Formats: sequence, C-alpha cells, structure tokens
Amino acid sequence: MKTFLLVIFATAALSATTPVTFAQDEVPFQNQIEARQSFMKIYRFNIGMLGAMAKGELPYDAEQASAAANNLLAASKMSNGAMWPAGSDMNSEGLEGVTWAKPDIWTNFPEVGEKSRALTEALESMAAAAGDGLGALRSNMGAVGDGCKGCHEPFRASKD
Amino acid sequence: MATPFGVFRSPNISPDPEVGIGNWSMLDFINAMVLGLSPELEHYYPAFPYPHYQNINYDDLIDLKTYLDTLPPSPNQVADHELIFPYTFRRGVGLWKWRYLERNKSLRTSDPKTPVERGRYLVTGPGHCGACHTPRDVFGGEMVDRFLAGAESFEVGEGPEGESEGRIPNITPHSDGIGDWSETDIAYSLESGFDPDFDSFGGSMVEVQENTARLSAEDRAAIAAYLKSIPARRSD
Ligand code: HEC
Ligand code: HEC
Repeated sequence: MKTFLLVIFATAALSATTPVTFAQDEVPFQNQIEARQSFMKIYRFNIGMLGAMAKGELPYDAEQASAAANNLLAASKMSNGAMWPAGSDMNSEGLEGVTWAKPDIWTNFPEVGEKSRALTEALESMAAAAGDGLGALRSNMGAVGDGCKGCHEPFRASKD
Repeated sequence: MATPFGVFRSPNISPDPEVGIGNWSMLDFINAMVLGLSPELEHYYPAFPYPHYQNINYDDLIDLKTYLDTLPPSPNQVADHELIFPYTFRRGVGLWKWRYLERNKSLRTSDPKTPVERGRYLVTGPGHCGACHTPRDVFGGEMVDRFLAGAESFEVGEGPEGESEGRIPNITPHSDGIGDWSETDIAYSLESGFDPDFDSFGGSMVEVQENTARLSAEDRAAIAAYLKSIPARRSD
C-alpha cells in the first residue's frame, strides 16, 4: 500500500515538472482535467449502485453490490498522479468553471495521499461486506462516504 | 477567519475561566446567544451567529451551557483557521448541539407540532443553515427576501489573490436550487453526505452533515419537509 502511494505521488510530482500537453486542448490541461473528472464519475456511478440499495431505491442484489464495491476498490488503487499536473487548479488562468480542484492539493501531496489511502481502506471493508446482505452494505456506507467527503472537504470547491 | 468583512476569530467557549466562558453565568450565556452581547455588554460581530440562536428555545440554551460546562477547559486563546462558529470546534471538542437536543427532547417546552414546524425550528435555529445559504447585504446581514437562495462563499479563499471559494448552493425548491430533490433525497443527503447523483458533499457542508447524520431520522425528514415548503427562489 505504502509503495503504491509513493508511486502515485512520485508520478504526480514528476508530472508537475513535465506536464503533458495535448494538441486538441481548448483550455490548459483539458485532457487531464476531463480524465480526473471522469475518474470521479466512475466513483459516483458505482457508489450510486450501492447507495440506491442502501436508500431503498434499488432492490438489494448481492452480486451487483459486490461488483460495484470491487470496481470502487480497483479504481481507488489506480495510479492517477498524471491527471493532476501543477497549474491545473481552479485558480489557474482560464480554468474557472472548468475545474474545482483547489490549489491546496499541490502544496499538500502527503495529505492528499492519506485521503486516498483512507478511501481505499474503507473500500476494502465495503468490498468484503457488500455481498453479505443489505445490513452489511448499509453499515459500510458511512465509512465510504467519509472517504469521499474527507478529500472533497479540503480539496474541492463547490460547483454552484 | 478571512471573510469579505474582515478577519474574525472564533471565541473560546470551553469552560476555561481565563479565556473561555467558565466564568459566564447562565444569564451571560443566554445574552450572548440571543442578543449577541458579551458579559461586558459589548456587541459581537455577526460571525458569532447569534441571529440564529435567538431562535433556539431557552431550555435548549440552558442545556447547551450545562453541557459546555462539562467539557474539559481549553486554554487556547483562539484557534487558527477557524471557520464559522460553531462548526469548527465542534468536531474537535465533540460538542454537538443536535445531540444535546436529541437527549433533551423531553425538556423542550414548546415542541413544534408538525414536521414542517419542527423543520423550521431546526433550520432557522440550531442548524442555522441560512448562515451559509442565505446571501448577505453590504453590512453582512442576511437578506431575508433571499432566504436560502444561495450565496457567495462566506470565506475568502486563501489563494494569493484571496479568490472566493465559489458559491454556496441555493437550497430552495426552485430549479436553480434543489427543486428536483425529493424529500427522501434531502433527508438521505443529510444522513449520508451524498446528493441524489451520489456525488458527495464537500467544503464546509461536510461538518454540517456530520452533525445532521446524528439527528433522528424524523428530524432529518422534518428538515426535508420544511425545505420543500419554503418559497422557491432563483439564484442571483
Ligand atoms: C483524494 C481526493 C479525493 C477522493 C478520495 C475523492 N475525490 Fe471526488 N473529487 C476530488 C477532486 C479534487 C475533485 C475536483 C476535480 C476537478 O474538478 O478537476 C473531485 C470531483 C468529484 C466529482 C465531480 C466530477 C466532475 O465531473 O466535475 C464527483 C462526482 C466525485 N468527485 C465523486 C467522488 C466520490 C463518489 C468519491 C468516493 C468514492 C470521491 N469523489 C473521492 C477529490 C477526491
Ligand atoms: C458552514 C456553512 C454551511 C451551513 C451552516 C450549511 N450549509 Fe449546506 N452547504 C454548504 C456548502 C459549502 C455546500 C456545497 C457543498 C458542495 O458543493 O460540496 C452546501 C450544500 C448543501 C446542499 C446540497 C445542495 C446542492 O445543490 O448540491 C444541501 C441540501 C444543504 N447544503 C443543506 C443544508 C441544510 C439543511 C443546512 C442546515 C442544517 C445547511 N445546509 C447548512 C455550506 C453550509
């Protein structure tokens, strides 16, 4: 786990000095920003399956629940450092209304790393429990939600 | 706290007799919460959100003070990076008004009769949702006719140019707000921190939601019913 995170943030640090630019970008780092936002949407989609079951909008299905939880776990282990190049925060030139990533991310890499680790830990338990019934799923939702909010609270601005 | 109205420091409300409120009488405390007056009868700035606490029942205030007195005194003069009183210290100190409200339902003299009334009490009183969700006029007062219609973030960003941290959403039943959220959606978001699209709350709403998560399901449903009952307002 530790080595893995070092890899992510080593990659992030590296990409900070050698950001890739794409010819088709209309705003700076459009590609990286779209990639990380899509990455977050993968989270949202899968957590949506679990949440809809927890909320009572979707009947509980052990197989679907496990699949969603395993997707989340796998996604949280994906190395995504290259999607966060320096200069791609919300206060950078031309990026207002494009990204909601706060500049503090780039001055607090170790803390961002801790936040992703906390989410992965919560997802380990969720992946182990999601197939064991609605009660088990529900009792793990809070910790997963904390994993998302724990990072959004300091590092992401409100969209409105 | 850097706000568009200058820097505010949150008061120490632990029972430390020197720098906290250990020496305050019950009357001092209620004056502070309801009238915004310190024991020396000085006015507090609106960052101490007394306009909201005047909506709290006296019984609840008495209980809050009693509860605060049981906390370990904190000698901190003022903490750094304070957000909006009282959301920041709550997590650390473990204080939570909602919890004490829960415990003391039986103490309340004027219990609202309907869920909507109960919701109004929670939103305008202890929850003081308007402190963030209602825009302020040039004097920093909340604009009543724009109640919960969304606002510029109260805190100014810490970036080099002091950029704003974005907007706080409209939570009226307008399409600019949360008109398409069902009551269940609202109640579930206050419980779980997920909106109906399963994006999670961020920013200062996280600490609020951690507190609403501790309310009873009926109280969250009451807040939802009340938010559905208020006039729909456009965002600016
Ligand atoms: C390590 C930090 C971190 C974690 C953990 C995290 N997020 Fe995010 N999330 C962000 C940041 C930063 C942004 C803003 C990205 C941007 O606008 O460029 C964001 C944006 C989003 C968005 C909006 C995407 C868009 O299209 O604008 C969604 C949805 C989202 N996150 C869902 C989730 C969910 C669900 C979880 C938990 C399963 C989660 N996130 C966990 C940091 C995180
Ligand atoms: C300390 C400031 C603050 C207070 C107090 C506050 N909120 Fe919020 N609220 C926010 C912020 C900031 C957001 C945006 C969060 C985000 O985008 O991640 C928000 C978002 C919301 C949303 C989601 C709206 C949307 O369109 O996504 C709802 C619903 C909400 N708040 C309800 C409430 C209720 C009910 C209360 C009172 C119990 C309350 N809020 C008190 C700051 C606050």
